Amino acid sequence: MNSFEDIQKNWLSQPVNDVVQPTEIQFVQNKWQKQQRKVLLANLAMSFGFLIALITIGWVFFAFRHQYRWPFEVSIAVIYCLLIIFLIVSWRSYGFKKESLEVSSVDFIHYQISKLHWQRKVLTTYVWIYCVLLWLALSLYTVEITRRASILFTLTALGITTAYLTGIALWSWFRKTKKQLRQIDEIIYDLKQLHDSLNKT
Amino acid sequence: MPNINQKQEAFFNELVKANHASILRICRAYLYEASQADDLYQEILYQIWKSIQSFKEQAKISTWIYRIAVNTAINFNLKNKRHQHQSMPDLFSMPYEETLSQKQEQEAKLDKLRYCISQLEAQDRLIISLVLENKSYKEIAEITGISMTNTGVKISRIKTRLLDLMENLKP
Repeated sequence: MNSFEDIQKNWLSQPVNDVVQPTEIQFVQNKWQKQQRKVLLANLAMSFGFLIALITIGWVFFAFRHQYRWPFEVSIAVIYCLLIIFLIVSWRSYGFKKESLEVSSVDFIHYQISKLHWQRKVLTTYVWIYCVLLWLALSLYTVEITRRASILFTLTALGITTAYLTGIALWSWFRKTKKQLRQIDEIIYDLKQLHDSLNKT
Repeated sequence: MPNINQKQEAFFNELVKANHASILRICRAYLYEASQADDLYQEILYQIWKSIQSFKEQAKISTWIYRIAVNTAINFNLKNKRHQHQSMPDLFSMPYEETLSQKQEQEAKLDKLRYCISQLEAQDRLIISLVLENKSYKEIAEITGISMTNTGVKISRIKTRLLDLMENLKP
């Protein structure tokens, strides 16, 4: 093979099945149906969980609001807001799962990088803000509902709440988040390299 | 009257029938390992099926399909970085080429070509796979999003590199 034309001729002559196997189409359709079912079930489970949480918190609020003062109302309102913010972030993350593959590669890489930066921001900033706000709301709630009990009881309740939230946050950071961040950084690096080499002459 | 699903299925079948050979060759150019190339091919078909509802009539079908194929390949490669081929295969290192049948000889040449392509950078493999499919500079620029001038320069550099590899890799 001496010239590029020879290489190309050889390449195009390689044996490829002329007939599309029906199993290929079947595979694609089955995979799509399975994926759709999974998304539907996940959405239903998430919506159901949220509905239960909102109803329960709403019931606590209306059933006990006359017994407590403003910190009770504020803590419930903050927890409500946090649930709604969590829902918005989850939907935004879900929206990112829909890839726009029909754009040019350079635009696709841009989109992937912005998606990964968003995921990074969620893991490194928003999750911690969320945890601190949740801790404040729960602490306010605990202090208010244990107002008539002894200081030791209030402090113990606060200690348990704090230890529980800190434990969950640290477990998640060391078990999951650090690994996720490492993977995200690696992919961002690769995508930037790819982007630069595509644009470089 | 056919419903939307049947129309979508018919359109998909038509697209796959017309383009599956090119898609498969792109996969083989991008990934040396045949099993990986087959996985990528399935993934591309799946992504075409998923994107079919967002296809706009005014878009050029081939550009649309190739963009999906190339972007899926980029994603696939990021998720499967371990699959990059390094070692030289034995298949084309056959000493008595003249005794081989024409078919085997062609297969050995093709394997050598595939191996040489696998030695290129990932982005260069994608570009050369489009060049090998006879895509014009304009189409390649549209698919990748690189400027026309840059596309021309890149293609010429990749062609030279590939010819060098072919020349220097003795069976």
